[in-house]
Amino acid sequence: MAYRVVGRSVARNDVIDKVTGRAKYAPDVVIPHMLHGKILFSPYASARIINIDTSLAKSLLGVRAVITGKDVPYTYGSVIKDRPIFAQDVVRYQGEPIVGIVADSEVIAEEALNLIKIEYEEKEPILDPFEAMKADSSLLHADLGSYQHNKITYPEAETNICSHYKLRKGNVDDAFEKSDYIFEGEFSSQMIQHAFIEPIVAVADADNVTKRITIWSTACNPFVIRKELSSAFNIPMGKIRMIVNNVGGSFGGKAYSKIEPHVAALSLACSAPVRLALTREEVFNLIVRGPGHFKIKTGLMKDGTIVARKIETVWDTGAYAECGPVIARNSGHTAAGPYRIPNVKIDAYCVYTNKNIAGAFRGYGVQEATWAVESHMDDIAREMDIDPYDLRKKNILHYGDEGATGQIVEGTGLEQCLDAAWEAVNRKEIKRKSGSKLMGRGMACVHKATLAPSVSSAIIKLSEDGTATLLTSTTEQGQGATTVMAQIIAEELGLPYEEIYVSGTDTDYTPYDTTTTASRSTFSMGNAVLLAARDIKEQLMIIAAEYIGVDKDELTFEFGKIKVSSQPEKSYTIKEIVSKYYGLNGTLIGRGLYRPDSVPEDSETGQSTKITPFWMYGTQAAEVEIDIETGEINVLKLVAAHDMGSAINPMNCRQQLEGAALQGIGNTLYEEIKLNDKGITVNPNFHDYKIPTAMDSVEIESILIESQQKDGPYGAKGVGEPALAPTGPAIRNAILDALNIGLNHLPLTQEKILAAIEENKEKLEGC
Amino acid sequence: MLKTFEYLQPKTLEEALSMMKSCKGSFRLIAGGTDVIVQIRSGKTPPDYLISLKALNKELGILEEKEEGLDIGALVTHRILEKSPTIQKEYAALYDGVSQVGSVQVRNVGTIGGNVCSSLPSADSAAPLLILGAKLNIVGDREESICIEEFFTGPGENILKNNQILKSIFIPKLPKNSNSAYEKLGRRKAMEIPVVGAASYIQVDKKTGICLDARIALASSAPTPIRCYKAEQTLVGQSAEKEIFVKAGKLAAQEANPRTSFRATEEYRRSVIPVLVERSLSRSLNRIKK
Ligand SMILES: Cc1cc2nc3c(=O)[nH]c(=O)nc-3n(C[C@H](O)[C@H](O)[C@H](O)COP(=O)(O)OP(=O)(O)OC[C@H]3O[C@@H](n4cnc5c(N)ncnc54)[C@H](O)[C@@H]3O)c2cc1C
Repeated sequence: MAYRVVGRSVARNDVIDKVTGRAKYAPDVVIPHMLHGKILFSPYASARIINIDTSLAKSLLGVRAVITGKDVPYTYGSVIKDRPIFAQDVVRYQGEPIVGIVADSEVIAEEALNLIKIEYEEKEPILDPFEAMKADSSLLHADLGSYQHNKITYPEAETNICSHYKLRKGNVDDAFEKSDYIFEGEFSSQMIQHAFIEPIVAVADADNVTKRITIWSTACNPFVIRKELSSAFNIPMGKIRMIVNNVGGSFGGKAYSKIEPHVAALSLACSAPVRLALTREEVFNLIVRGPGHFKIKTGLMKDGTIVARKIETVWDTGAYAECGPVIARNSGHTAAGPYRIPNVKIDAYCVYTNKNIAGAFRGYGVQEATWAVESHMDDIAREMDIDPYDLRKKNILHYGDEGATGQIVEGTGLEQCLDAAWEAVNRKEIKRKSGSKLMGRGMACVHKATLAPSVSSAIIKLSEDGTATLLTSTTEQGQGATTVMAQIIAEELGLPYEEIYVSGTDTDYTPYDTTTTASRSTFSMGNAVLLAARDIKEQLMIIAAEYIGVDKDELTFEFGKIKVSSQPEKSYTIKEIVSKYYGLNGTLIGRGLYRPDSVPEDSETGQSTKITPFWMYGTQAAEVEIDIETGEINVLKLVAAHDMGSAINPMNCRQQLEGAALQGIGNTLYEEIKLNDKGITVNPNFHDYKIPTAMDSVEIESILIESQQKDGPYGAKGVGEPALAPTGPAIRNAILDALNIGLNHLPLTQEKILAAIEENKEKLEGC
Repeated sequence: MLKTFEYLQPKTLEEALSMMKSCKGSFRLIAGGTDVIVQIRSGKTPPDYLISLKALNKELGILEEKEEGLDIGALVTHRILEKSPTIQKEYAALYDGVSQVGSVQVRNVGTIGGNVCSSLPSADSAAPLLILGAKLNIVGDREESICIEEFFTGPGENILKNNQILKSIFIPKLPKNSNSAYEKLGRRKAMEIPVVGAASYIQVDKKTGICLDARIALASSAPTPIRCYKAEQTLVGQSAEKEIFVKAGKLAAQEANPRTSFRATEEYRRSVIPVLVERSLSRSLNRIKK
């Protein structure tokens, strides 16, 4: 079917505001009489607080409030409620908030910070998750067993394991017995930061008498945060209003509460609006992607058929759970790879350590799991002397197969992705050697589930002039969601795309949406928007029938025009119908609510007939060049072929693929947050923590595979997260191809590459 | 957040010098500020005063070609140097160095004087200036000219006294059949200080191909930017070709004294120094041939 707006790369509807600098972000919020907050963060990773003396700070002119854990003895956290707003005698990571200050200016607040005297008893931090898992390890959270937690978290009381997720399918032990070959591998991924451009900022305007709180923030799931605040402060949700305008990048790092509880506490303490803005350094401690460790064992038959896979993963989540348990679980869905494997056993441990808080990072652990399993796939291929492409081709999931979670594959563009990416990277012959440089090619596949259960709702207001406004709580964080939603409305109602306006999020006015994460917005919110548009259409038909004076059954709707079967020459525009019906003032309100199907997992086996409403698939291929004298690596080309169901806005999709590939290059080659042996971050800034610059960009060929998701809006599903995952292992496998050396521990710095070359000189001989 | 400080802006070099003398409290000079501001923000060295050299362009900002060589005012930015055809053609190592400082934005602001006076072991102009025989023109109670080799005394340290300003840098004209190059190894392609930098200068006898003169200097390889005299000596009198360049590289690595930081380990730096030195020498030679 041919669409008029959907499937076209219309210009983004936020482009002018963003190019001219008019677009408003949380850091731009200024309220009359606004005060400024600052937080004193712990300089130690592990300590006991003996005494806090705030008297000098309190007496400084211009200081309005000083609060500590004693003033707000509340905890928060929607995955595990384990986190104090301000430390309660115990410090569990460097950067733990200890004291909050409100002052007339940020400078005064900072001066006041320097006047606070804290006596700590420093303790030896637990930094190694494997040590933390030992039975005799001291505990970060002695009360873990009594903490509230959500249904998909499996804490082990009296340990540092805040969740142990299990997936059991078939019988791996029997299958290993019968396998012709068994391969094992160990892999790890490092601590990195999201590096969103906009640091974390929040402004709260709260009143201590009425307990009404309004917060402007950089959050990407304001409703989740509202719930966390409601539970922490014991204030009804309706009294809490979260407003999110544009967000300057999130990549999952702005999901869940960040400084919203703190700014709320500060504002309540003085019943005045307070702004709290973190510095870049502070952001580095507050939210990271935690390190991951992977052990994989795979059994295969002689012909390359995979029959069993066993995986043990350890997720170093830092001092508080954040969404670590969800990461352990969600990565578990995917960890066995997008392959047809009858016997799978996965154990994922999410472990507390005295480190920076780990949270979601573009894929909820899928990037890391993909790193491990796809690297392992190429190692297997090499050992068995099979082409890595053939090994994948033989085992990938097809329509009708049962995946590791027990869900039947309903449609997959995976094979198309695999073929397209591999074909594209092999289009030209490569010179395998030139001077001190060796070249190679590699590939990696990914599959990813989205969030379930979840809810999206949307309201469309059709104004008297026939233009429409969408009220939605999907946050625009650079991904282009507002554009896609407007395209869906324009297509469904036949209105000009330019005349559809999309709101920011305001929990007082825009209806519920679970979160803008998990690559779910185009699918879930897209469906809600589609339903709202259809609701409008339904109402239009009723009033049109009344206005024209015919029976509703005689009317048809064709791209913005209402036609009467008995008067084929005539048609009525939406504007005409609406304005005539109401006179000049009146609004139609369309409502859409979408709750995709899903079935909860069995807690012992992780099995479910529908763990997720849809799966996303992709394959990437890389061509690299390595200087064997210096270890320098150049990514010459990246191909990213992904199945997004259908591309509602192809340019948006390509931007996701290209942006993710570049982010993936940094994640793979040089990004790493380094801690010293006391657990202190040594490179918390963009001078010392390297992300790719424009000069590091490479040739990226993006290929859009459109398999048509049957219940997606216009066939669409998601693409944001899976686009990142295969980049790393594709590069790694290309290095393997070039050097005959497999590197298993991220990041693949030139230094590590050179050391590996020097250790494996003999392997290079054949290259 | 930045600590507060008093900002002074003298209009002449003389005024600047007298301000430095009469200043009560700690002060620092600021040129482009790309090092100073970063350092103040990280809380390391909050001075009471910043004395800006910005208005002294007439005295410190001139790039002048003379009969005997090139005079570079301390305030000349990396970008101006990078764009100068003379530097591109005749002082290629310096071009290689300054054109790879940070990004265009940083090069538009950062000055060569600031780069030298920050005296970091990683300064990208330092190794090129060392092999180009640069002289530093320093003013204070009196004006003096010293060889750049005498300038650096430790990481971030130099011989400048509290009442002295670097006025300009002089680079003598290179003799015939000579050329220079600077190789920089970083982790990414821009906004990167060198993991190791290697500069070289050689002069050859066009007929015999014998190396008549050679200088080698390294960045990020010791507590200060250094010359590698032993490596240089092996080259002189030898036929300029890869074999001897490799040997010089190995000697240079022995003369180096790199450290382990979170950017790179000592071992890694040691293993790439010979490669970069050899590549730098080969590039210098190729430039002569062209
Ligand atoms: C993002 C970024 C990237 C960078 N990348 C690089 C890089 O790749 N390579 C590199 O080498 N450097 C790099 N730097 C460092 C810096 O930009 C350079 O060292 C620059 O040349 C410093 O010059 P400036 O004029 O900004 O110095 P300032 O910061 O103004 O001063 C630096 C120091 O020199 C002193 N000083 C300045 N002028 C004089 C003078 N005339 N007499 C006496 N003392 C003086 C100051 O007191 C101060 O101690 C980078 C910096 C940043 C912020």
